[in-house]
Amino acid sequence: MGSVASSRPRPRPRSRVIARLPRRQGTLWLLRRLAKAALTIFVVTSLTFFMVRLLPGDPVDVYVQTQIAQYGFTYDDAVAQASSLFAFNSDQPLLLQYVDYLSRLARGDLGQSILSSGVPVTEIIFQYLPWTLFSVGTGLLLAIVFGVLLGMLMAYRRGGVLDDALSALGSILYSIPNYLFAIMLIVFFGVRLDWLPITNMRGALSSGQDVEFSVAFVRDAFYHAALPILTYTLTGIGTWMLLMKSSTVAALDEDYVTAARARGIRPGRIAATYVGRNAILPLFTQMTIAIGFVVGGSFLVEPIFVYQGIGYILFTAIQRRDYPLMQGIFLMITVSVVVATLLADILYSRLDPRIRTSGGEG
Amino acid sequence: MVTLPSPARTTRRSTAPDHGGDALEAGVVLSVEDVSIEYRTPGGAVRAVRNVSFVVRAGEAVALIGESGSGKTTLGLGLLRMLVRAARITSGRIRFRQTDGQVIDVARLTDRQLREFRWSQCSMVFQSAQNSLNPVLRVGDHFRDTAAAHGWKDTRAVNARSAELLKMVQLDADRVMHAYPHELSGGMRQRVSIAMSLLLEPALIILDEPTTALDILTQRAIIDVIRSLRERLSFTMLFISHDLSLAAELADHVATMYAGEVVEFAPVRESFYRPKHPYTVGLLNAVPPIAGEQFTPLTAIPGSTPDLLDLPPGCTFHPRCPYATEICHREIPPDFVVGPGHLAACFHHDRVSRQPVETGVSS
Repeated sequence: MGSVASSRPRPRPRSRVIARLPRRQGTLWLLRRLAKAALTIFVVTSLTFFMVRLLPGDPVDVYVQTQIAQYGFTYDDAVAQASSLFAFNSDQPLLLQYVDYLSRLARGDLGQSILSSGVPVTEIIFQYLPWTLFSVGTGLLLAIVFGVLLGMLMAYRRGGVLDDALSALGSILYSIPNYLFAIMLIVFFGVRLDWLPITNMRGALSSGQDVEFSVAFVRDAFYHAALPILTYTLTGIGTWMLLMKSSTVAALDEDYVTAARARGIRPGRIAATYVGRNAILPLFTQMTIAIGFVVGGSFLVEPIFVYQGIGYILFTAIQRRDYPLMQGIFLMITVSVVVATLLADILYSRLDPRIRTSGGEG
Repeated sequence: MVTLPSPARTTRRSTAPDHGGDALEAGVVLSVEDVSIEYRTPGGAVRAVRNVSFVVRAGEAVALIGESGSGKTTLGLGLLRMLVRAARITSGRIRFRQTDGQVIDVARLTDRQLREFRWSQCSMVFQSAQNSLNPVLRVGDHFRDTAAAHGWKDTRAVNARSAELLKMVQLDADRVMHAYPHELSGGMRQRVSIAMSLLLEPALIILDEPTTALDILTQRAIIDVIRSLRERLSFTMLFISHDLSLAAELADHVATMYAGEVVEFAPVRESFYRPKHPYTVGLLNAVPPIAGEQFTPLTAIPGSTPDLLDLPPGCTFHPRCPYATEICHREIPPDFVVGPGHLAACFHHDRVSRQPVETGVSS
């Protein structure tokens, strides 16, 4: 080899050892993270307690008003009726009620519904929650899967006609609120065009259909959930399309993608492991948070379709000022959001090896 | 906007030796023949590489030297057809002798053939090699992925070969194979890239600015690694750099690029001791001498690189050249043979020397 000149002494080659490879996040981090989650739940629970009571009117008022308006009761009769029906005493000092609520909560007792008196809040939640989890969960899953695939497609075809069309569609879908979309579905396809038997599709199941392991049950469940699922999917998909597109475009420009092409790696493998896996990382936190909001997302859509899930129940609970039920559902929403965020943090480190070693909360 | 339709410019066929028909001269691995590469831009077509010709022989190391924007990286990427979408090879042939002896024209490969050609025949160490590893895969996965893409499925053999290569670049193979890229330093990742470029024993390795992004000590170590690898494996390489001292250490031949053209092609000693193109001289005078004790003041090349959308007529270097005369404004210099294997595209090659001249543009 023709080297012109280099009289500098060459350092002897020596083997290099990688600096200690740090392991996963420590238990201390996890404990701190758990404590933070617990504190968040406590604060939100307390705020909820006071805020639901700041709503104008209490359960008795609402009931009395209804009785007077609907059945022509006199005010005194209605009050008498109400107090015999409800185990609710609004005269108790608020602070005392709060302490009482917390001490019950600590024992896992969410109290009883005021209006369906005697029925524990937990029971109501367990009865209606599965339907919401099913419908919103399916909608979210479809939105994420198709949104991510379409987003990648847009990024690969960026600047083309398909990209322009899908970007426009994504922005439109992204900007339509889900309740508006639900109303439009009902008005256009249910009423104007009369394509959809919206009355039959109401409810979570047809009357007479039991919850069982059978094809008929599954079909019926999907039949009734179809419109909510469609709503969640289409109003959710825009976000994922646009997010995935931008993060895929960024990933496509990465040097490791160019390098992978230079190494002759198959395009499919590059799309999945080199582009896709890196592009989806920034979306992951969004996804877990979206999962946390599954329950809250149903609040406005379920009443429109008369789909009896937890959102529908929350809607009626608020109308009737059913404090314990509202508190119970809000608590559940809070817990699911907090837990989902916590899981996001923990799982993210599994997906992105860089987080694993950085320690701390990043 | 159209650039210079001067007939002389487009007809310049230069350093490529006449092969007599289509047979590629024995021992030649890569023959770049009259290659031009254009970028389509809103301002018009930018001809980043213009009618470039040179050959790389088996076992040789050729350095492609030039300033930023001289087209050297574009050319390097073009050889693997890794150009961005806006760029296109507009003319010329890139003939390549594969390891099985078959000669192909890289510019005419189909997508599938291209994928198979890449890395198994010609691999590349990128300018940003520190970022050329996928952050979610372990180093070992990169080696296995690459081997699998070329039909080498025997994971155990791949692992063994990868470990062997990693040891050759002085890495602790057992740990590095299981490490994620972010667990390695920049220099270590560069070594990994170099080791990986050798995995499939390609006919040619292109190193694009292999040390640019590294600190000076790491640069030193990487150069040593490349040297020792060549001593052991004697592979053919083309490396792209603006660093003349690197060329001096590693290359057998030096091709100097200016404004998209190869203006001088010479054996390494010739290009350092008897440069015959004023631009090469300018480059040499702009860096501290790499040999000898005597102190020579550094001089910058006056002016700046030309706008590729609006090239000066005649010799593209004439506005900055101390030797320029009237002919340089009018005519494009052909390649003059100025010594054995030494070509220079300068009308005044016989007057050019490393000693500074008093005439011409003041600095």
